[in-house]
Amino acid sequence: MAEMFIDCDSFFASCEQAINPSLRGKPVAVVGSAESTQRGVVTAKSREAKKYGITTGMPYFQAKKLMPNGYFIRGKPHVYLDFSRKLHDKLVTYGKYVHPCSIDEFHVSCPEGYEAAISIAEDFRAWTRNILGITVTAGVADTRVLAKLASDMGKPDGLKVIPYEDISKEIDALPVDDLPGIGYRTAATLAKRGVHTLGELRAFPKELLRPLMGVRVDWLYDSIEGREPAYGWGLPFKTKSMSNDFTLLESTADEDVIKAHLLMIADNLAGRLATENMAARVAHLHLRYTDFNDVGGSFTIGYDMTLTDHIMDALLHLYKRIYVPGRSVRLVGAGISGLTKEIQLRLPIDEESDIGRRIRDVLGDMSSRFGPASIRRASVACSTGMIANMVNPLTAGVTISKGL
Amino acid sequence: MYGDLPCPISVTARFSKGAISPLAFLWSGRAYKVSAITARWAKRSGAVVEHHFAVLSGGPDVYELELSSETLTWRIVKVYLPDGSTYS
Repeated sequence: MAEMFIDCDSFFASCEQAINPSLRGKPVAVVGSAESTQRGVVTAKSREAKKYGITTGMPYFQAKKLMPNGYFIRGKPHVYLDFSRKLHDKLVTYGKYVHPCSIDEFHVSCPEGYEAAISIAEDFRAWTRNILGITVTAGVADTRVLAKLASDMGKPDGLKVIPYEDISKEIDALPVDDLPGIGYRTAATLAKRGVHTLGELRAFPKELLRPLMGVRVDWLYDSIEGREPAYGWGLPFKTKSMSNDFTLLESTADEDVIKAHLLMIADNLAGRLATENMAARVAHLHLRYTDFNDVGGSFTIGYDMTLTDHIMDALLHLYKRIYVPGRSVRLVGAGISGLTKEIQLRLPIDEESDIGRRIRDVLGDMSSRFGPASIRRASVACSTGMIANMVNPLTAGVTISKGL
Repeated sequence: MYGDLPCPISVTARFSKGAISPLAFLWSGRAYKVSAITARWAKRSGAVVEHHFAVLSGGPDVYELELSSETLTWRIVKVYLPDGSTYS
């Protein structure tokens, strides 16, 4: 049995270089949407741009200072999604279990072993280079975690294999946070105990970490010792959370504008819930002030959220708790988690909830037939500048859903 | 330099084994032979699918052509210039 991890190199930037070959070998940074290019952040950078110190998430103005002669390209999410779909479709043709991990990362399980995995990796890498014009790195190992680590080690445009007998030799010198799943907090916890490398972790008594890390300690040691952690594998892909962020065109302390963006996000999230026939129990809010201070929180609600109004109620609850009136905001983000397919109706079941369900069905239908941007609440449209000179129903106190 | 975009164009294309490949296009009275397709992608807006093709025609400029599955018409929607900017 071998596991393979496929990771595209600088995916969005590579797509841009594939579309416009003049950009190959040049420092390219992909930034936000057309409207937010000046205020957005870097979402991807080419290999050449990394040499200038450009990092993902860096604000555009900062990246522009570091790379004044660089090429800043507006992102085209639909193009990247289509490239991702092609990558997935190609992987499926090999007849193996393919698990998409993100838009540009895939796990492939090869029960036949290493030779089959390496052969697939080589064929797939040649295909992506020749047909799509992008490069990918493949990692092959006994477990998914080690395969991912191998792909990180093989970057860019490489194929790295970590055979079981060489695990210690290959990974022991690496810092602990190179292991996928070890974040800075876990790394700090381990550093306090003198554990900085994966080799030191291997030598450290596992049971001494259990009180600090709980069951995660088993996952950690299974991972570095080449045993597949005993959960999750083989299960169908499950959506665990949904979120949406907006960098505002101009920073604002106008609460109507902030709330309108929240409503737009709530609408998007409700549309996605309707499409996947799911409900959520937890809402998350994220605000970034103009001084780049981030605040956020989450709220678990006592019923299954399915409609925009449900999500908006939870977000407004968080908003009142978190937002400091008068402070200028540059980014509004929100998400939902605790997703379930076993939807419990919000009680009491009355006429209004029937209307709510009907509205939800119609919105879901419109969203899938005409696209997610085909319908918006009027309050979102005017406060986010979609429709100029319109009375703002938020301030006018009109509840659009009741008028439908 | 290029006039208004998007602009309807005439395209000679091959439809073979489910794949669409533009071979040449006529735009503003000038014929462009497609020397390479650098990328292709589909954009879905509800039930309508737009097929997009980034093509070269001998020079460094990349032309983005679009075929609508709804109207079966071709348009040129954008030109990618070698300096990374776009004309649209």
